[in-house]
Amino acid sequence: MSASTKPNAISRRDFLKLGAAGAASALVLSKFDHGFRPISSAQAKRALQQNVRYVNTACVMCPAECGIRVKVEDGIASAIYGNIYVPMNTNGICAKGAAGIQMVYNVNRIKYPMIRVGERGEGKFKRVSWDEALDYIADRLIEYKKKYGAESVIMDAGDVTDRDPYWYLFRAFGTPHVTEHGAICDTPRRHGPKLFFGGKRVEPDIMRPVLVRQPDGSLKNDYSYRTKLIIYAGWNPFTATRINYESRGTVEAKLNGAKIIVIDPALSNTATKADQWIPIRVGTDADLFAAMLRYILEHHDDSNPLRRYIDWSFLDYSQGWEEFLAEFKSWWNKTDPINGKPYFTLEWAAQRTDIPAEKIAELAHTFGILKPAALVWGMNGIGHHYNGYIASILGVALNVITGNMEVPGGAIDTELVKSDKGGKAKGEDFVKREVTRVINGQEVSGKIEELHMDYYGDWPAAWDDVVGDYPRRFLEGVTLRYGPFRDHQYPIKAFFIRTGNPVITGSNTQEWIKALTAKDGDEYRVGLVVYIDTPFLETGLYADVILPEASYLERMSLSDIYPSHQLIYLRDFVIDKLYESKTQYDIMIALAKKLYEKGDPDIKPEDFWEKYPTEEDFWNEALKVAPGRAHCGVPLPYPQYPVNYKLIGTPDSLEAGKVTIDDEKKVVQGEYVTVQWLREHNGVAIWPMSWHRFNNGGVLKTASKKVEFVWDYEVEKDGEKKRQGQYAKYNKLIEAAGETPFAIRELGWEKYAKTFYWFETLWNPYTNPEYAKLAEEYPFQLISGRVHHAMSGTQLVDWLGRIPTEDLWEPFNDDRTIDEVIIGENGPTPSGRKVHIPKGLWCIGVIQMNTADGRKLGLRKGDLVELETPQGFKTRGKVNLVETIRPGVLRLPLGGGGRFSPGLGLTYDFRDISPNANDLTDPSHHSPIMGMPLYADVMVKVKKL
Amino acid sequence: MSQRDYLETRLTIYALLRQLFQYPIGTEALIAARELSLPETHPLYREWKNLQSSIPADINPDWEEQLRIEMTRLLEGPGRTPAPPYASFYLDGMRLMGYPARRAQQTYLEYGVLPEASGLPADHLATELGFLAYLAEQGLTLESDPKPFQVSLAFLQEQVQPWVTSFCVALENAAQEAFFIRLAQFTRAYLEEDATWLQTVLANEYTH
Repeated sequence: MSASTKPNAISRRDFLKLGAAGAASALVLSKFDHGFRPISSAQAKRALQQNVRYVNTACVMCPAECGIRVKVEDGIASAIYGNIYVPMNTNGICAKGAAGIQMVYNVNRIKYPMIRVGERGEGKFKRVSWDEALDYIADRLIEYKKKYGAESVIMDAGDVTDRDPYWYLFRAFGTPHVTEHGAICDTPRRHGPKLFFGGKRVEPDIMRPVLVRQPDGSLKNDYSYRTKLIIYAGWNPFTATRINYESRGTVEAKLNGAKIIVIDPALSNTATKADQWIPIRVGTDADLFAAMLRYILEHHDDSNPLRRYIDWSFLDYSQGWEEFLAEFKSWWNKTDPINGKPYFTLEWAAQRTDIPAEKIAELAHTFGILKPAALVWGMNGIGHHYNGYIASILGVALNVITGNMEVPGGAIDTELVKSDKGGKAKGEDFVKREVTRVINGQEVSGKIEELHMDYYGDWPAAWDDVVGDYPRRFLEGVTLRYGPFRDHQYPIKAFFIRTGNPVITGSNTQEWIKALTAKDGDEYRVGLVVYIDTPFLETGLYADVILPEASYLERMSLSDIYPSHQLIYLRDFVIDKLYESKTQYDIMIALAKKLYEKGDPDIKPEDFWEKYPTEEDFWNEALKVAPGRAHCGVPLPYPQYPVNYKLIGTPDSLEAGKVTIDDEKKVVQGEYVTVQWLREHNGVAIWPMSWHRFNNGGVLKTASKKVEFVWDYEVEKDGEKKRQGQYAKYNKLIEAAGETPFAIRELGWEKYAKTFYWFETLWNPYTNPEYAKLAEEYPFQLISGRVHHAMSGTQLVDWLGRIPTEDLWEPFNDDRTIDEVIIGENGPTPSGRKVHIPKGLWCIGVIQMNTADGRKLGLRKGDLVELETPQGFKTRGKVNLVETIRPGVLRLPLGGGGRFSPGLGLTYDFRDISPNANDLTDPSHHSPIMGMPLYADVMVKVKKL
Repeated sequence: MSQRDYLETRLTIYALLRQLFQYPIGTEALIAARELSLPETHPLYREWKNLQSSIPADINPDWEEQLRIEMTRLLEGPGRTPAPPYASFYLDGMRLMGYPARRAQQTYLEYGVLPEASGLPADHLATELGFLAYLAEQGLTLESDPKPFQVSLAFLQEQVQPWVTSFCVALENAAQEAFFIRLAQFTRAYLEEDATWLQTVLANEYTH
């Protein structure tokens, strides 16, 4: 190198001393660095050696939350497998779970906090620091609390089980309104189990393996399938897989001799593996169940083994059967105005369900005689109808009287038997605090929980919050009608939505948009909307603040989805948090600190950062109550411990007898389960399974500790009369206030029924005379189904967009060169990049229609049509003409079309030719007891476009 | 322009570009960009002047706010942005943290450095520019050692240039603020120019 051109050696100090030419450079370099630091060669060498590790954690690509094991190479997640130790999925993993890395590393995920700078819906935001975002939020929360009370704030924590940190914070802040997705999922479906058992969901006993105590005292993984019959009504576990083990378990049960019957208007994935598919008319599940029950009652014969349907032993652990039976029978002599036949007869049901009478008789007989069996009803079939409660109640009754509840191979209420979790970390103590409000000039005191807008407002027996009716309350405000704060009025001023997307899934889409964009003058009526998530979905477009939540591989929590017995597993940190995302715990602590700094009187260091200095501390608190269920059943999980005592502690400490027994409180206390314990045990704690857990009260959560066929009854204790039963509390409130909730007033009720009841669903011309006149103009009933691998949030995982499913998600795209659209200066704007998608290669949500119906309308597969309801609501999409759905019924994927968030990637580009089911949902009615949106009570006409 | 001047200017430009692609762009970075004058002999004198002309003489808070909003839309999110500033997006099927991120990290480690914790992936443009700034500084401080220049050239050619052109075109097409259009134009041109300069220097000066 020649001296004249050789780059000069110069030190940084010398460089800064350069003359005029270098002065500006010096200015830059004195202020700005390169951002790199040297490391030792040993450090570099270590880091360069390929570093591979595996972490056990829990999936969140769908609410099934399977146990997974993630391979991490050099700090980057590179592959996802099933965790063989978690019995629900035992090493299995679906396409969606395996594609999770595309969600975590998706370019569209929210990376930074944002504050809105345009109007709501325009999608104009500014990136801000966490501090700015939290300032913005805390200022408004404090203002609203001062002006309207903390009850004006809602925290909706969406569809994942790890919501506890948010609930804890907002309950501490003083609002009773903490909720989650379950409130808009399938509430009528859960109503029967809640009334009878204090439970939630009845599922077949097919989770395998289950850990079972053997006669010799050892524990063994039991893989035996004892089920003889499973009837799935409106339940499609092969795609609606919150109860994920049913996919495999159903097939295994069938291979072991079980008969599988699927009752569904559509040939679902589950139906394809069934022995029988019964394409029932939409919205008539209760009719079918009622006819089955009547048939069983009329044809039961104790002396004939071929007619011995009823197992009378249920009377030992139940109460109120006679009253239930009497009320049920009282309908037998009434005549149905729509078909002139006596209620619940085979002929009556045949007319309504469009299932031949002899087929119904055969079904009832088969269910009565084949034991063990499970009758299971589902989300789409029963949870989405105005009168879904009745099918749910009858379904429970059928399982109970036939002796199928809690027997090996029978039916299990999973809510009653899963491990407890949360404990103090749920923050429930906070809402027991006493507060004062001025109502009609009078100062009134009560508990925070008594300010709840549903339970003390229009929906006292909702149990789950009535999210589907939020838009009305956003627009009109809340009036409490029951309890100490009766007549208290308040507006909803702040709405936090985390891992949810109610604009698309929470009832009528336009109604949600109307509520979120309503203004009083220049101010939005709901003054603060905060969207917290990893993907950016439609509801985020209406948010004032967007907070990036760490993806499921970057955060910690617990999972325990609907097992047959107690088990719990850990969601663990797999990779470092990306960008500026924070975990739920981080957000809880950061917002709590901000509120505290700004003087919120309810947020105290001793409840937050002093009590839970690390994330692990918080989840250890949540684990302290595990497993927390009554020690009961056959075989007894731990023969050395007393029956019906509550078990607390790790499986190994209980096994080893490292316990203290409190006879007064009836608790067997072992060593607490902790995050560390879970890590050391493959990420999962499993306690032994047993059956017959209703005996002597067992796991039942009713006041009588029996299965209750009556829901408002009197008992006398110590000379005092007391009302009990699941409806008693609400009826007492109604009686005290002298006011009937408007939704049950529509039914002609004054209060909630004591036992069996019957009413018709809405928008059904075959069962409700009011709608018969509309049938000619609106000849189709519309239902929805789930596209498992492309649900609301995960449609941004492009690979999954290529997999067709269930005739609902099909490669019906036209040939398009798409101008990729991003959120621009004035809303969605072309980015300049073009993507060519050849015809027929991209799956979109479609309208499933029977071929014969299509032919009558002159339609061909792939034609674009418009659907319209009698209320004038419309959506459009392409028809998929198939034989897999009964004539007169259309099925749409819920959340599968009409998606207008550019954050979804290519799905967004076909929003004009894919249908949004919730464009059609009736916003003016909700199911009358729990306020569920009427997703499946829809009549439409079809127009070719 | 002397070789030394060129080297110090090179370091300055990389350090400054790193700042300009990192949210939020601070007032000081904008002032520095406005004030830094390149000699007329610099090959990118005109592009630099163009960029400078998009920065107002009076950098007021309103303009800075507009700049932040625009940068949010262009680069930060939420949802799909017009010009994601990550190599993986362009080189690995539009997902992030793909092989380009791992390769960049490996390159840093092989050189015995690591980016300071910023939450940015290893293949974010600002991180890659930071590494080039570090190497530029090394070029100034290490006498007669061609390694910083060799690593710079290889990094530029193999890891930065394969995607940065697409990124800059996307940014230029989508930007509505002149500042980002000019920034994209300058960045693209500068990286090309620097690669050419490195090739020349390494061919002429360090071959024996």
